[in-house]
Amino acid sequence: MNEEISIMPIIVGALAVLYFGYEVDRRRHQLRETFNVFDKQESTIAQALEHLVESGQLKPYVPGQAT
Amino acid sequence: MPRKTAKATETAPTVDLDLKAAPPPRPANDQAKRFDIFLIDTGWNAAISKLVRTHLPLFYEYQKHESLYLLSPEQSIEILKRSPEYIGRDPILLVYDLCAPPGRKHRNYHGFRLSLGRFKHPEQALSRVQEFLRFLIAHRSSAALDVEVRRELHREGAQGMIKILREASTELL
Repeated sequence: MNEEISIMPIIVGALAVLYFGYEVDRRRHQLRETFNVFDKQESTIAQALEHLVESGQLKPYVPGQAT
Repeated sequence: MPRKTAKATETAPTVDLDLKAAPPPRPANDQAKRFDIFLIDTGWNAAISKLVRTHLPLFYEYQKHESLYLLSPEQSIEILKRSPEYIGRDPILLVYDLCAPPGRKHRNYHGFRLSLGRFKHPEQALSRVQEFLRFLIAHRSSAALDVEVRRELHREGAQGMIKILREASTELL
């Protein structure tokens, strides 16, 4: 009986650690989705954006101009 | 013919943009330009779009030394067609780091993006925009911004884990 009672805190503690580990991993995944680093695979988009800017279709934003 | 993003302005300077050029030295001071920032927004998420556009003048004031480009919905659609995995994730603030360090050590890092389309509530999106802005200003002289992105924005490492747990417990309370 006493042995069963002493195991419970260990089980609860282990579950808490597992839950926190899961929560940390979940939130990190969300953050990576939100703030996403990109590499050379973005070169296609980069080309398109460069074309828009160099052709004058896209100009730097200045407050007060219509968007 | 896509609708132009904005009326032509006499004051905007001619821009020669090369997003894939070899990186110049990183800014030695806060006055030098480091980023080209693009807002890609198809209007998919109306509430978040409105929030972002409302705060653009303030964003501009904080990032005066950088170039900020606003794509029209039509231009945004054309761009996202090239990367369909990001459809539905806009508004996206795409930041090209002109001082990105080359090489495999930094996984060919070129920049990073803030995807706001996944947020349903404007308050959540605003919080991330503010965090994004703080990060850009605080780390604009950093040699390896990708490392800072992973450590601070992605909350990697032990300190990041503590931050996540603190934020989670604050939300629970």
